[in-house]
Amino acid sequence: MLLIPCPFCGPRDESEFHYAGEPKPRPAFAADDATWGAYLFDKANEKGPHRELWHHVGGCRRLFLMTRDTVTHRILETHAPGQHGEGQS
Amino acid sequence: MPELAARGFAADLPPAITPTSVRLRALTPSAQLWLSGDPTDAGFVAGVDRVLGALPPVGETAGQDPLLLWQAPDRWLVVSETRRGGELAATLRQALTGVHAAVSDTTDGQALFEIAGPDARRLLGQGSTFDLDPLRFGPGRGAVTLFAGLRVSLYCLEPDRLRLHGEVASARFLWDWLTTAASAYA
Amino acid sequence: MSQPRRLPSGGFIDRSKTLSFTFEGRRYEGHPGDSVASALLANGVRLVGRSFKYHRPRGLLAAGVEEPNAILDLQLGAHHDPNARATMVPLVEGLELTAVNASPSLRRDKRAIFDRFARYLPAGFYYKTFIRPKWETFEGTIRQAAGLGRNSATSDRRFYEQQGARCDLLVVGAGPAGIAAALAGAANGQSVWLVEQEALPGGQLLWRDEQVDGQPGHAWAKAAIERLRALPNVNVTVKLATQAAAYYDHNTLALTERLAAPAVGWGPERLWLVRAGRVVLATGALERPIAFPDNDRPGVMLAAAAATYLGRWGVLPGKHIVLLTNNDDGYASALLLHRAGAQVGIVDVRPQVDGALIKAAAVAGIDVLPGRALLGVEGEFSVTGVRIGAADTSDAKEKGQGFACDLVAVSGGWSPAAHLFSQSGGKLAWDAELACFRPARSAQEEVSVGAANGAFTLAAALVEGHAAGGGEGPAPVASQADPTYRAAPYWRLPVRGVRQWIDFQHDVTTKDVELAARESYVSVEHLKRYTTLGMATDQGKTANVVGLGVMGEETGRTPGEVGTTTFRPPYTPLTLGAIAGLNRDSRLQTRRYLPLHTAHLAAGAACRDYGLWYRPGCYPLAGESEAEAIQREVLAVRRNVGLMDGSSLGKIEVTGPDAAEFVNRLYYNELKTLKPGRLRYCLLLAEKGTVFDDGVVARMAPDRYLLSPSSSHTDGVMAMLEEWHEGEWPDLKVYFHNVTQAWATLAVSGPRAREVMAKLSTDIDLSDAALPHMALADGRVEGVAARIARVSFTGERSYEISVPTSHGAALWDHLLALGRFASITPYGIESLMTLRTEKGYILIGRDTDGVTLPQDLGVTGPLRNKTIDYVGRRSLFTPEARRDDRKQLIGLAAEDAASPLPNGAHLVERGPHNRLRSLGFVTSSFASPTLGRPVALALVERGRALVEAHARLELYHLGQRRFARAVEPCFYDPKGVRLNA
Repeated sequence: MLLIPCPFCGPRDESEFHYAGEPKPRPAFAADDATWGAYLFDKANEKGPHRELWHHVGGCRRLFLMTRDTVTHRILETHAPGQHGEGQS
Repeated sequence: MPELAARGFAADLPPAITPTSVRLRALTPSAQLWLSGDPTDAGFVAGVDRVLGALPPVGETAGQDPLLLWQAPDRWLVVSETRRGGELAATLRQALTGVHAAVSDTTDGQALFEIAGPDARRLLGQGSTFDLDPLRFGPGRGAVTLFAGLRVSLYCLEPDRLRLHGEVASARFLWDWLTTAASAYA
Repeated sequence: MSQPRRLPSGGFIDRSKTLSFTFEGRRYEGHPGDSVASALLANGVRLVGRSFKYHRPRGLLAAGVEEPNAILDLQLGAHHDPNARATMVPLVEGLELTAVNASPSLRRDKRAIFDRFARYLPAGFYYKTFIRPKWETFEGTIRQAAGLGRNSATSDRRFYEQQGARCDLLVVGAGPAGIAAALAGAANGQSVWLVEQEALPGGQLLWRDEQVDGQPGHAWAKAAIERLRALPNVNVTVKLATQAAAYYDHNTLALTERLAAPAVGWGPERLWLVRAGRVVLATGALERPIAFPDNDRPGVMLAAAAATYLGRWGVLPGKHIVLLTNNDDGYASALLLHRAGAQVGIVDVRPQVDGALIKAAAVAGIDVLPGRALLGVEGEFSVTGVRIGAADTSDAKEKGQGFACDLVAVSGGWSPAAHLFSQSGGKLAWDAELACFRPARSAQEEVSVGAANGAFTLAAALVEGHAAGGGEGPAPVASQADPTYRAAPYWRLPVRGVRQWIDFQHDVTTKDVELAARESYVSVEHLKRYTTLGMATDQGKTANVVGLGVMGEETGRTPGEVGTTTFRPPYTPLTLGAIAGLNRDSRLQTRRYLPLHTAHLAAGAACRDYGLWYRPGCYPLAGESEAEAIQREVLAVRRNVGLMDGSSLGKIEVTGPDAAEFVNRLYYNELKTLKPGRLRYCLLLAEKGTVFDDGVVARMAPDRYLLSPSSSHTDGVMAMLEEWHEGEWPDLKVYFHNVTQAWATLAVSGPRAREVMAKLSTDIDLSDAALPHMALADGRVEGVAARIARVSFTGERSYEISVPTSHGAALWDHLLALGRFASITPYGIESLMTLRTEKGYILIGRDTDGVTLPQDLGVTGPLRNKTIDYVGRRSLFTPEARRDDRKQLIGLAAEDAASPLPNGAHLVERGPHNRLRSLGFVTSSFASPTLGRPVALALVERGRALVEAHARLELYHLGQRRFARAVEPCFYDPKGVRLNA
């Protein structure tokens, strides 16, 4: 029952959101098979603070970045993609 | 040329027997538009203001008719009960010529319901996790959130009068939810 | 005499009113304020049920949520609860109660014989015994013998209300600590919720002889609640009879509120989800039993429960009481019972007892036997006496000394009710001095106070609560100092090999724990699962710590070293109806109706759910089967003209100077070169290269595209657009609007479509020169704004007409009237399935699966020619994508035309020993009325090569064998002439 602070709509129940994966740079077409495979399928899945993309499909429908502690489920920060903010948005 | 007759979504809804503490109405506004644009673009803001008589709001509603409901940092729902959707969309597009913006007529795509009375917020609370506390969601406030699992635009007109827009194909479902939830206060 | 055990005064009941109820067919009386349990006890009812496994007679052990035995079948008018908890159900007029797990009657239960075979039924016996020939042989009998109440024959049709709330401070428990916290929180202006599982506030103040701020404790509690409710300018919510059942992440708690008078048609529980800035857990503590032989007999009761029945309900559960204790607080209960007129003797297992305690007991006239314990109990359905011996005996043969009594009160020490704390993620630690697990480390914005924190004295509870609420100034004051609390870790009579009950509800005894230790199930998780300790509906509230203590003794560990299992929600059972709320039946999930739904029903449509959409499958005429209707509708489209509602097809507008660039990067097909007014059939791939959707993309203007994803993928495609735009290409200037439901779309399809369209009044030029196949135009139709597109899902000449949704029904009627001369025929999705299969037009998700690449479908143009880095492209060039044995789409021509090939049938090859290997499967298979024979599509390994070889293939389906030839996946008009016919 996370309460997720959407950077645009404010705190909302997690049922309004879709998890959209870990943010990863997209390799160029020339990337070798192993690099491309890692991009598609490998997950960092860290224990502790974890950067992830969330999609507010039940609200503003915006994508945003969230840092969540996978041990405590504490949300450390959220911000719009491209705005690499430090503090809580 | 005889025009094809119109039949709004409300014609298919069964009548509601609701208690006095909460009144439900299905409404068919004459215009509903999706409007997208950059609120930091002076041209966009001026064009919107010129046609709609209000500046695009952030996180709340603006104007009365037309009413602008904030949907996202660059998207609004424009609602009017007096202007026709096609005409209003055309006027708006005209005013935004040369501006990166988008206007779509969704007049028939959204159902509109009004929930009014002292139990209005309790009724909505049955289907939504959104914070409906009147201190934080008073007149002029709006939000896009889930009700009964569906994405809706919810806004407050008066302390005890709220409205929600939802996809028209789910109008029967929303009505079923609203009328059933209302029976708790009979 | 009615209510023989009720005292003439005392308790919080209304003696001026009498309520009648029945138990096991006998009529009894009680009063408003009674629980079912207190009313039964007041009437001298001792035997309330039979145990789960051994069918042993059972009575009340406790007075609150922890009660393991008194689970009754409750009937009140039409309402039935098969497992009502007697201690938690308020007494109302007309309750009909019966015992569960007893047949034919509570006293003469035929399965009571199980108890005599107990030695053959130890922990885990069914794992060892009922495996030959197989578990199912025994399952029916075992399920009959085990378990609690019988489920109702009819489902509960009542509605249950769910609500959410937010507050600064949520206090769970309105005992002294909780009230002090709420008062303090409200005083400094926080919004406060205070919830209490009982109908009255006060917790143990309701039955203990204690004073706060110079008032009797219960009066102080009542006044405090009134004061909280009356506070001006502060947002305080007090909910009594409300159970905090679960503690989730981000300080979210689930509460169930019992409603005295729900609305007509609504159930008696309301579920709350409360998000709190800070949570104070003042949940109190639970008294533990001590295990000894036959300690589960009716009339053996927790000491504090006996005192609670006395103080709260004016019921004296026994007149001659032996009270067994391992701690100082047992003396307090003994004094209360003694003062009410019972004769009480204390058996204290501790050899050395504080002199002051003994003295206080002696002053009251209570004898204390230190260093002694109970060796056994006399009486079957009710206690008649006990046998007392040395507390440290290990001799099973020792008989001890007999004493007559009618109640055995047991105090095995207190355990903080740390269940919610543990659910919140908090960690418990063993406190050897207090002999209990206490909260040690919080995981959320939470603090445990009072008895829930091991602060077992009133003064400490008030101070902790006050501080936790942010209180300034002095805390409420306990008027007298409590005695200190000491407890000895004495869990059971130290005699091995004798059944002493630990978990009353699941019949787990010391023998079972000893067995688990012997068989090396020593981890607490194994102990739980092997013996089922704590796994009953009471979740072992009275059992767990005793069980851990005994396991510790068996393995030379402290209870802290044994550890606890994870506490999981809910703390107490809650009604499934309350969990569901209104999210059931027609309100579970939306059903999207077509704007023309009423018109379809008028046309005789047989509607079905296709994803979220409820759409006509076909339109059977009177006396016609659905299969016949489909055949007729298919032929009508092939020979004349059909009319279909395609409104659910997606319509997403992509607008902006970078719209062309965006859609071109997104789709597999080239879209930059698409001219305004033209359409292209496109595939949309996932980044792993698999086909995600197919649909038609129209270019409306240089800077505006209209995407038409398939009906059930529109929401997914919309999400995909947003994620790629915002996540990957935020610099592209483009906006998306989903206008799917703003337009009704009707398809006119068939060789006579052109004739029907010619009758339509429109300003759009419908000539093939102006509007060829795969073109579209905006204009007006019959006076309303409209768009006409030449696009075909049937393979016949087709026109899709879109008008604003509210005009759809009128257009439908108009087209049916206009097309009557050509016998225009409505056709549904099922007919379309046959039409598109005849043409080899695929349906994503049916003719493709989670690994299908575009080249597997034979769509290789973009793969060869489109060189920009569109979504999924790189994945089309991996070793996996280039394997030569990939499953590819083919057509199948059945050798025998008797019936269509079974959908899902496997195409097989035979290996050594005639073993079958699957090469693929049939994805779409229909009887084609057009061709007069079955047609089918399939995904098969090396499918292209099989088609070129015109291979004969074997199909296997549920024992049935069929044969078919591999053919091109298009059975009708392969050149597409009819699109322009």
